[in-house]
Amino acid sequence: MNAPQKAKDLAPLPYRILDDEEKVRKAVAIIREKAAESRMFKLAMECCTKCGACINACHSYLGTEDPYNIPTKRADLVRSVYKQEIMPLSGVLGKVAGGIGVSAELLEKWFTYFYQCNQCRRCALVCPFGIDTAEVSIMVRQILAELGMVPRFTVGIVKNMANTGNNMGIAKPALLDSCEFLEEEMYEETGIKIRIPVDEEADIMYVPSSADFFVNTNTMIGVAKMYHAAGIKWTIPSEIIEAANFGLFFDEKVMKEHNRRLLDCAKKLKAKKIVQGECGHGWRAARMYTDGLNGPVDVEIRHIHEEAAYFIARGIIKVDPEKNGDIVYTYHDPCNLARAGDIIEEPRFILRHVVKNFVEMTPNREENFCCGAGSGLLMEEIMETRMKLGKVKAEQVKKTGADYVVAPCSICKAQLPLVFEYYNLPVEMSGLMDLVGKAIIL
Amino acid sequence: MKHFVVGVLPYLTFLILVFGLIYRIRGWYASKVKYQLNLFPAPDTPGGEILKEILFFKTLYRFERPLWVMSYGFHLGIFLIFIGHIAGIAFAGHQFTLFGATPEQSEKLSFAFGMLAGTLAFFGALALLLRRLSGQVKQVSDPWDYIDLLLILAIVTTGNAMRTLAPVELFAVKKYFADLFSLRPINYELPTAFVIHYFFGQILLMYLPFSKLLHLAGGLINKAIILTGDGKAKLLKL
Amino acid sequence: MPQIEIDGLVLNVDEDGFIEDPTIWNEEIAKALAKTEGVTELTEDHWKVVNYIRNYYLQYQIAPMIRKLCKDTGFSLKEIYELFPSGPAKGACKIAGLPKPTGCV
Repeated sequence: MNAPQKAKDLAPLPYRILDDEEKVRKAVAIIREKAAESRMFKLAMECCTKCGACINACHSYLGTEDPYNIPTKRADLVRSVYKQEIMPLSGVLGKVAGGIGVSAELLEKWFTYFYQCNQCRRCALVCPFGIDTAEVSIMVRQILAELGMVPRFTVGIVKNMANTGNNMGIAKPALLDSCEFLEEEMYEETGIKIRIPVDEEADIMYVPSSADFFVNTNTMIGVAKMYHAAGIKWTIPSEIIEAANFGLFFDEKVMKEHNRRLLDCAKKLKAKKIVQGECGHGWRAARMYTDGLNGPVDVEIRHIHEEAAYFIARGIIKVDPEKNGDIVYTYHDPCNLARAGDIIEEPRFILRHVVKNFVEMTPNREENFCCGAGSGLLMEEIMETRMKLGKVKAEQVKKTGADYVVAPCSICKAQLPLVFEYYNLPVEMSGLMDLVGKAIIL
Repeated sequence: MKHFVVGVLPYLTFLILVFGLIYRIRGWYASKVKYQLNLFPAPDTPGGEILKEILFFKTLYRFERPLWVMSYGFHLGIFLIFIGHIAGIAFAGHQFTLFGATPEQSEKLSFAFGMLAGTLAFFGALALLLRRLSGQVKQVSDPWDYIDLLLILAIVTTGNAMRTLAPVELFAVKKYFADLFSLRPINYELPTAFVIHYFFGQILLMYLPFSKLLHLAGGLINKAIILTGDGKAKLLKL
Repeated sequence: MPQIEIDGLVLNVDEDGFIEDPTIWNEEIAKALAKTEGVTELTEDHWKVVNYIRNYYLQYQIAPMIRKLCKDTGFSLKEIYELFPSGPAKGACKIAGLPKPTGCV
């Protein structure tokens, strides 16, 4: 049982820390409310037949071997309360059917195990009824938030987002300094003045991940080179250099606010198209949730891989796979990009053009396994769990025999190098736009 | 007691079943679908995929082949039993005369289909029960999962018994249901085997709307959410 | 609030062991924090990195990009890991008295 540390101060979230008695008193009413707000959650509570198809589909269970990480058993932690308190004939059938009441210990268990779920949705894929434990996990984390139980790590990110418009807490002067530095780097490398325009009016508003301005700088460079080569005016908004929308994982209000900020910036910069950078769940939030959160909208929402694939297919940019050498590349499908976001074939199309040797890992595409940090499980204090959650991924990568893993999602990028080191896999890793940047002919 | 089971309970069962179904399914539809929750790759409309799911149990076939064999056999058996009960009772075994068979041939065919359906359902349920009792699936099962299967096994077993060990005259059953549907009093005896089978059947129907046995509806409603695309065009067709 | 005591120096730190109030940072504190990150002695090379990060932070309230850190200090990422076994984000930033870099890192 390795749980994230809980935040002691929830600001700026609109919730407060509650004592145990108050938590227990409020929990059932909140569950009831969430069941009314999400048909998928309600159906997950009521219709699972316990067929067990999800057992070996879940990397969290396979890696930790903890039965509470079996999707349906994880959901049972809340389902048991639902049966007891909310199901028709509750209480009567409840106890026979394994129903129990809420207790402070149970809520702690929720906190532990719903923060060992990566919300990867692989269980929804294999479930004959499409029961989505990610949706259950999102709802339970929401319930926990309203009961004042949020990881310290997550609150830190929400705070940075509120203050600076990105998860890392990069203010505009630092951003401008970083962009200038990257422009110099590109000039040194290519002899061409390639810009990273900030806050300029342009048709395309590109939303990077803030981690691209700390560790994954080559992703940003790849994007800048691509738009330069395509001759298209683009910009990044200093008010939201963050594709990641952590609200998706645990709080609808946070998600909505992030999304609104995104749309406001697009309006301000007169952008016709928002292009999301290499961030898995951020893409899901923007692509799948915008209409429901702040829609309808008249701005087009695209992923950077859609753009890159289009430019390559139409000959708008030229790439030379030789530049990425003879090594063997494999591709890790970020869950929220593939299963939950429809960016499945584009990255493969791009890869086949920018590298010479590309091998698939098994399973792949919508069947791929999570890196083990999905849904924001990047807390230092649960490192042991994170490594277990990454076990299946490490095995998958090992079997490919590849030298290099392409993982276009900042969470995957933060998690995978640690996993590879832990499991002694001598492989390199980067995003996909990094390789586009290297292969591009300017 | 016997009279209650055949003369009174059926009306109660009917009311509970109908209002139970309305109550439960309305409850599901009252709950919102605020966002696009589909999984990719997803078709623009879920119809085709849903049909494949209903007809072939596509997802299980794709990911859990051994379970698919058990589950598909079991459900196919149940489906045939459902159809068989309606046709077999309405025509008292002579339903195949509609397709040109003689009454004797029809009775034989009816018996054969009954055997097939009853065998599939029985061994299907038994296999599912044994699977549930073993290893991994055991740890996700709760008492009610076993009770569901045992109830179905009881119904199927008594049903099979009525076809083999203690045959029941189909004309008598037909007359009984005609009387029941016309609200005429049931003042005659019915075979004990039939009454037992019928009792368990009614328990199942009353319990159905309030249990996870309604996965046949809930599962499809959920699958429809997962499978409904939003029709947003891709930048590039790949 | 957790406290740590190193060589008689008592520091208020967060749950990750980063100092709560970055403004109190001084060389003594850096030396104390270094011990918690497996750096027993701060050499000239260590100070070069630490001071660079510190100055960048004072100017921009954030850690510099790793790439910029490497370029401006002249150390490769590998060398930085040799100096700070727990890496630039965790080790070096902690010793330089910054808050823990957070987000997808």
